Amino acid sequence: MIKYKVDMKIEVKICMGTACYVMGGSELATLSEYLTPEQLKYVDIKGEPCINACFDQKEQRPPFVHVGEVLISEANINKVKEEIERQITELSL
Amino acid sequence: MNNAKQIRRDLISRVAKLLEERTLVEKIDRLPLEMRPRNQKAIRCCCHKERAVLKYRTMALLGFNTTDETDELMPLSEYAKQAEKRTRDQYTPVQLTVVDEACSSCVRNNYIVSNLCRACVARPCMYACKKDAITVTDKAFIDQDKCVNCGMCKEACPFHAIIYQPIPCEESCPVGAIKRNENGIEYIDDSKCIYCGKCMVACPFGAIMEKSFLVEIINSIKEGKKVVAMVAPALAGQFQVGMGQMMAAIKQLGFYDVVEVAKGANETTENEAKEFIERMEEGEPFMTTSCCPAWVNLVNKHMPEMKPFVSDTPSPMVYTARSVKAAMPEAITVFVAPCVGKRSEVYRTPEVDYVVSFEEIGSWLMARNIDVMKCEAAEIDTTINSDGRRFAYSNGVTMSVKNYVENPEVIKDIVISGLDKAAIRTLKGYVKSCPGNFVEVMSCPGGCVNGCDVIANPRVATRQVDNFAKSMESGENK
Repeated sequence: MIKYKVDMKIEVKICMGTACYVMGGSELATLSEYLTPEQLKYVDIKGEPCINACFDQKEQRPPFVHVGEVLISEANINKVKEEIERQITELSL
Repeated sequence: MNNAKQIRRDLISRVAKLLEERTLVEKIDRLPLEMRPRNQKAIRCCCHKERAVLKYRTMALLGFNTTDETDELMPLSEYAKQAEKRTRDQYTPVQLTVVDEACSSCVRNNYIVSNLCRACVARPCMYACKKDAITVTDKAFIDQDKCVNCGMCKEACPFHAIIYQPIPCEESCPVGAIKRNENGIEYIDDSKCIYCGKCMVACPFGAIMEKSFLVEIINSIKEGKKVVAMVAPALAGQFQVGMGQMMAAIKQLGFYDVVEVAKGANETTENEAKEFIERMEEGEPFMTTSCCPAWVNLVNKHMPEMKPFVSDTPSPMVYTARSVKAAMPEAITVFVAPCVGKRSEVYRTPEVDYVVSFEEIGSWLMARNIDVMKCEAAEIDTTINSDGRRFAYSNGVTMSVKNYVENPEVIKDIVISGLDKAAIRTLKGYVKSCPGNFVEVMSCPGGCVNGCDVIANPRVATRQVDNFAKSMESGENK
């Protein structure tokens, strides 16, 4: 059985700026339905007003999502989920 | 979301930006080049093909059908000039156009031998084929000229080596309006098309585009005309903000006013309920709703025997437009719509000038850099009965009418949520014998929240529309 540092929560910030939302971010609204109850304990999912990633990252395309410190571009449910899983495994003792 | 949709939204946003800057004619020819620079990795064969596709997709955004092309060398700037001069009487009823350059001409025959074929000794496929279309060497081979798409070979193969590959647009069309021409390119037969938009959603090559009014709308605003946005009830679920904020964002695009079509839906409810009672008193067996344009098109083009049973009550859009024009005759009315069907309804509705889709609004907001989440909420019209807001999802119209009549138990309702071939057969059966007396028909499964031009996940949107309707009922002004 894997144990996690329970006090650590991974912050998932979904950019809800218009560009991110229109270019596919709208589908990320159902992200929590794709995570297991166990995974949900370790994440904190939030919709954020424009995080300005489209101005800072000229080469990358929306939608943008922050999973902890990691910025995901062209985000979709699968990409975000994978990153969450990776970070949870890293957190595990 | 998918890549074809993203390209379309990017394109809409760029066209909107040029219109906003009033540089459409000067800059439009560069647009395909900017979107597909020479050194970028192409998804199709090469950047030239992609640029050609973008050109024709842009043509649709300027309000043309690809078939309007008479000279292949005519640049987009020329179309842009024509679009800027276009008047209402120059519109054509055809609202969907196949971008032939983008159509990949999917398989000619649906049955394909995969590499799972073992070239077995028994050769059941050969024996099953009544047209002698199959020969077997190191693998079975289907002669495309002889194959009649019967599928007997697929049934016969014990290795499941023969597969059925659908043609997405044809498969999605409930009325057989989209077919391949002699070159294998799809074309839409306007005498059959009901403008449900299902082919547009289904095509993985993004080859089907709807004609847009963006040029007319943005130019009218720039010319200082009083352009009024009439928002469909389904808009309330499109962004993750309250309806007040959403309406404020739309107003920032330059609209003179933004009004909820839910108000017109109240009128539709009232009149449809009265009409229903009258019809029942006259001994009619049943009545169907009339607010879904694809349904009305279906009846007109394919089911004339149903016509007497369709409600004559105008749609919420029409009532809303009438009241806007009554209060302000010089107003230009723009319906903010979830689907292409409404474009066909507007063509026969003089009260409504233009349509802009949810997707176009989203892309236009993107072009203007308006952050919906940061908009200050506009005031919501509290005189609207919230039942009108429920027209956005299936069962909503039925619920509204039931709430309106004094004895709702007389309404034996049937809700048809999604027009596919099976639903059409069912509806045809109702003409002879209908198990209910009030039939609500929505072309899209789940209703307008699942229209072909929506941005949000339909499930999330339904919840949000419902919450908005409830909050307005309980008086929380959100």
